[in-house]
Amino acid sequence: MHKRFQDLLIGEKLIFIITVTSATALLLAFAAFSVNNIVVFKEKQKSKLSILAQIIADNSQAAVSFNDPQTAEELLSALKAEKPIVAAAIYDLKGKIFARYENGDTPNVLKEAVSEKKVRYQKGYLHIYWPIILDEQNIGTVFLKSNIGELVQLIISYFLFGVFIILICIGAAFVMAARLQKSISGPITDLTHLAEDVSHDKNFSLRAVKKNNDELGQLVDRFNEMLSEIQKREEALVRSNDALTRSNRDLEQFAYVASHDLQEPLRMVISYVDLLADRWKNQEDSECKEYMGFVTEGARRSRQLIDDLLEYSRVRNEGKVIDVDLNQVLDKAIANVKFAIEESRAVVTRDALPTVTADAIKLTQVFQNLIANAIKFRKKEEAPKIHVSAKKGRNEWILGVSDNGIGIDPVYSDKIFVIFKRLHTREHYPGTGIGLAICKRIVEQHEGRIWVESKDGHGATFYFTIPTTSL
Amino acid sequence: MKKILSRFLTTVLVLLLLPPLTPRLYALEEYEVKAAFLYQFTKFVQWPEDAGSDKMFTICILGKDPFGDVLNQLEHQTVGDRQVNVTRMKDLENVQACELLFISDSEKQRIEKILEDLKGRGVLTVSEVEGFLNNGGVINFVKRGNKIKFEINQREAEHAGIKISSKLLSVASNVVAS
Repeated sequence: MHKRFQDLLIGEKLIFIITVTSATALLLAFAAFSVNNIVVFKEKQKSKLSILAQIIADNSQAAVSFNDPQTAEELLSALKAEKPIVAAAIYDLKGKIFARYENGDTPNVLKEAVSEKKVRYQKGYLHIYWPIILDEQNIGTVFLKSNIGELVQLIISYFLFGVFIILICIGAAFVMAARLQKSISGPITDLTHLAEDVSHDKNFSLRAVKKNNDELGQLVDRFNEMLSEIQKREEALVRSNDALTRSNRDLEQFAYVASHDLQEPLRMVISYVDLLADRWKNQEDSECKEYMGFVTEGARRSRQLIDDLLEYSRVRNEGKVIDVDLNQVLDKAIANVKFAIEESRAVVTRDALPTVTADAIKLTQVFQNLIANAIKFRKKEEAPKIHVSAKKGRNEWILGVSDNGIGIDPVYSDKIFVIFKRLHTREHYPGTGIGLAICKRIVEQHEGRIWVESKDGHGATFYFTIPTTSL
Repeated sequence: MKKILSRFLTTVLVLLLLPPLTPRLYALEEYEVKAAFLYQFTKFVQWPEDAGSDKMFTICILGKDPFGDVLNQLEHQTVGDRQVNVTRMKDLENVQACELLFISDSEKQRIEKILEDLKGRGVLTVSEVEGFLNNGGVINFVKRGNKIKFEINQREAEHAGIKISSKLLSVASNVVAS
């Protein structure tokens, strides 16, 4: 019951509370009224019969004194007018019946005389004993036995009337409560609906209508204030987001243009440096030769960096997003790094991979980079073992590429995804450090995440997620 | 209680002392009842304030006393706060002391004269003579079957200044209304 009450709507709760409260109050009041009336009725009945008994006692003095039962019985027969009296008697001093009256019942037979007034309800009857006193002497006793049919009828009629009245009043209270509660539950319901609309449509320009000036009115005001505050912030957020996006795009454009335009003069520098080096290859000046070497090396590295930067810039939000089978994507990636796999005698295993909605070319690059990384950072003494896994997460696929390589200290877990960030020297492991940065960029374009789990020296697993919902 | 006990004791005494002659015994029982009735009358009757003496309530018997000792038992009783006194008399010389006068059967012949003399004197006259009420008596014992009843002349009672309760009238076998 209690739990069900919790689940009721506010309006229903109010109706329930009002109805139950008024019914309870009414019930108590009516019960008190009825009990009081019944008590009063009983007292009245007692005193009415007491008076009757007293009159009979008074009038039967002579009959008892002169031993005249006939007159006494004539006196008692007047009780016919009092229908509830079912039996009556006059007892003599020893408690023997002196005169009797029967109307459906018989008077009590006494074991001993009753010499004092007794008025009591007993087994559905009212019994009255009333002494006959003459000259301060007790000369006998009058007995009256009355049924309490009237009392029972009174109680029944009170009960029926009470049930009737209470049902009507509960009905009335229900109707009233159902109408009046609306002034409280109505604004709350309106507010709830509005909140639902706002939450569902993300439309912060909606406003609640204020109907009352009570706490609910204040609630509506504060709610509207909060809505306008959110609306303002959202607008600001959209603006700053637009600005950010624009500047990000500009920056990308700049990086692309810069790297693209730098390629040409750098190619020229490299060509002529190569020519110079060729012409000076017989030069005796070893210092000059060494300098020449530095220039060549620097120029080549510059070109590599610019190429990488160009590649990174090319990863943009353009390209076809379709349903792609990751098995095929992985096949393509493996084919792309076939040479490195064969050279290192790496073994690549895989789970059954799902089909996702994505850009196939970009995902190929992700797998390709991760596999190439796994091979690159292998342990010298072991052939690389690479496993590609797939797991269903909440609203996303979690794809993993694990290896048995040198691993990564967890301290650097985040740094490795930053462009041109390297953990090792160029001499140990060649490369510019662009691979993971590109992976991160691609995964984030697919609204996924990428991270690594590893222990230094015990291999690493790169995970990335692709949402199951279409982009 | 005392009354019943005394009546009972008297009966026992009489039974022990007298030879078992049924008519006699019946006669005695009859006068026991009548004696009790005489006393009971006093409870339903109001005398004028100047009647009788102040200290005693006097029950007088004129003529031959049919009650024997039974009536003497009444002297233990009171009427209101007055002690009952039983006086036997041959004539009406001292009748002013009487509240209640029982006229014996023996005075049957001169009853008219007696009642004439008592007119308006505040004395409740009781007898057991046929025609007593017609002659101006107030209460007369009669027999109905084997029950002793009485009849009342309310008119005479009023002439005598005596008020008789309607309760008493209700048990009377016959009432001469005022």
